Amino acid sequence: MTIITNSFEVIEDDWIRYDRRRLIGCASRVVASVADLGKYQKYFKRSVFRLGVEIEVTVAIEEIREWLPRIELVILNFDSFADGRAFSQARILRERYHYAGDIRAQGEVLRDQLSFMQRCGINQFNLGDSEDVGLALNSFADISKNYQPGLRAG
Amino acid sequence: MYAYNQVDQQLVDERVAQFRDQTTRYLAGNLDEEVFKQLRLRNGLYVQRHAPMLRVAVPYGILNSTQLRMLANIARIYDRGYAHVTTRQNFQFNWPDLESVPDILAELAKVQMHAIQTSGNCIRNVTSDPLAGVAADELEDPRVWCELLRQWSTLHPEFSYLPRKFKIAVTGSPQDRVASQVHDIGLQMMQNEEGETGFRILVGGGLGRTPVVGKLLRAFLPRKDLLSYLDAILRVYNLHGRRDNLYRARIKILVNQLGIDTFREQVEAEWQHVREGSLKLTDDRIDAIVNAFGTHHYELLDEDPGIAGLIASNPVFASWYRQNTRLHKVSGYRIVFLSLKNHGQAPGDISDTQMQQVAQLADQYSFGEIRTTYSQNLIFAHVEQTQLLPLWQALARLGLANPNIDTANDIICCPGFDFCTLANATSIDVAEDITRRFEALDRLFAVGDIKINISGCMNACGHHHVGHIGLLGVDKSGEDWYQITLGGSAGNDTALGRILGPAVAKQHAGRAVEAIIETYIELREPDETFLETLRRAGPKPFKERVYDHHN
Repeated sequence: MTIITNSFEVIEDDWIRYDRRRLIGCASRVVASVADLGKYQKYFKRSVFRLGVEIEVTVAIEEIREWLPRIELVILNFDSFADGRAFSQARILRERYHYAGDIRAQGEVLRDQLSFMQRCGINQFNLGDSEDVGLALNSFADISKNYQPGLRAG
Repeated sequence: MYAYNQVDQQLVDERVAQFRDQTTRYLAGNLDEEVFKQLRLRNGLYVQRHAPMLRVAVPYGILNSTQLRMLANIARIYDRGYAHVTTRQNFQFNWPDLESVPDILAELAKVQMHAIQTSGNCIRNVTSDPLAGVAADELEDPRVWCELLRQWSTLHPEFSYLPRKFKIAVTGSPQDRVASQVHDIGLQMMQNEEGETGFRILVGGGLGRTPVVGKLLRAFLPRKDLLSYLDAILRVYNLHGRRDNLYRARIKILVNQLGIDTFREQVEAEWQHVREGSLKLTDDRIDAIVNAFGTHHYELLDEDPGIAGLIASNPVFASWYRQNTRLHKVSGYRIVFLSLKNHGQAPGDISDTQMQQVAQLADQYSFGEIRTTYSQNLIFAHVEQTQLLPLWQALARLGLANPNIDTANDIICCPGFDFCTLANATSIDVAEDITRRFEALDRLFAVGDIKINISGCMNACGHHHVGHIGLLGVDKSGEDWYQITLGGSAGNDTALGRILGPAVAKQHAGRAVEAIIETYIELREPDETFLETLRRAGPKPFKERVYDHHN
């Protein structure tokens, strides 16, 4: 699994998935599901560790609105590369809610779509094992002009 | 016409290089079949029955002569010497090699053309009134708005992977010549009571398996809000349109499921977030596009008094003039249609030599500009009236002066089973059969204006639902049969045709259409159109005639 960023870095995944049976240190980075956030609301509100959320394409960003000030990472799922809903989720996060933390794409993350993702506000890309990192990084420069007033995320 | 700036050119060039790389990866086995399919579709490339099909965008149906010469060259070098004009004003090549497509796209880019988003689940090439800028009844030239939409929709980062394809049409005239009511979004320019120009917006129209007439989404939208409002519509669709069933994925299904009022509430709510954002248009931005189009330098001419004499003395010219030319808003000029409906040729097909010659004639007679139409013909939009006779003679030599525009021989037709993998039945040979029955011009003119549309399958590329007479090809145990619909229209009175009765076998299809037209002629009151007669008399006499006849 390789994660690249729009600043042309390869980063480690230092986030752990939330598991209620596991002890979490106060310096940990923890990704919870939307269901977890709802179920253990009080716990997450009291906690001091660093919090991220993973959302499915069917989730309305409105549902996690109250968590956004607390959240440092939103993971968007591209279950299929042909399903474009996560592009809208990213833009809504950035433009409507002015979310300034990291947004990471995971799932079928094609290098041919990275620049679309970036222009919607996604700044981390989990390439899995299928894409060559060097070629993926180069792909940001495939199309250097665009018509839409876009976002440079981060 | 619109001239590319450096950004437009660079984007198209880089897109070619990107697709070349994708094609290379695919051919080397390094790109998954399904991934490549989605990527190639967004570059206009289908895989058809015999070979790939490349659909080239003709933005809002306008070409210059240099571009048409390039299409001719491509037809000659990479195809089999012809191309096909589609109902959405594009050009299709039916026989390119997959390996050559990046080269073809590179050639197109040299003349400011591309195939971006002519297929795939994204915002397609925007279509417009073929009489834009020259129609006497026009409120405002829609092409400026089409170009703004072209730019807004091209490689849109959020809306390139929609649930399904998305088609937009724009009309600047009260007379709808773009079938705006059967598009995902139909934009009709209008003025509000304060005299401000804006858009009436229809949504959720479309043909295919579930034909629907578009519903009124907004009675008036100020023009500066166009892009932000469309962004809001597309976002609601992108997030909520169905993705689990290909046949339930168009926006019309979402609109029908939610109801237009709920859909409107969602769009308006979304719009409140984006309306004052960066998509709000400024006068400067609009003016820059207007300027990029330039203006035609019309001569100051009077209406040509010689025309009346020509019409009186030359009946062949007279019928061409009456049928294939239209009023121009500038005095001394005329709009000329070039008919691509000829015997022995699929409707909308044009050969490389015809394209070459048409480019030459466009330079000579019409400011070097050529237009494509919804009904799959071409237009010279700016012909001096004094030049009509030599132009007519030249077009006749090329086989492009058949006086059949808007007649029973001006059939809209998809490529059908002969080319298309989706088709159930052929369409071109049925069109040929009908055309042969109305070969005699006296007979053709006696019928008058009538729209006959033929689709080879329920995907409805031949728009059979909105033909006055529609034929839909169906497969019955391996044989081609045709379902007949009557009463459709794609104009201001847009309506979906109703099924007349059981499907007819191929050998009876042409005769069935002929019988319907004969019935109309017998029943009609003076000056009554086909649709008027049908509405007055009802389908029964037509039905009796069709089914009696071949029993």
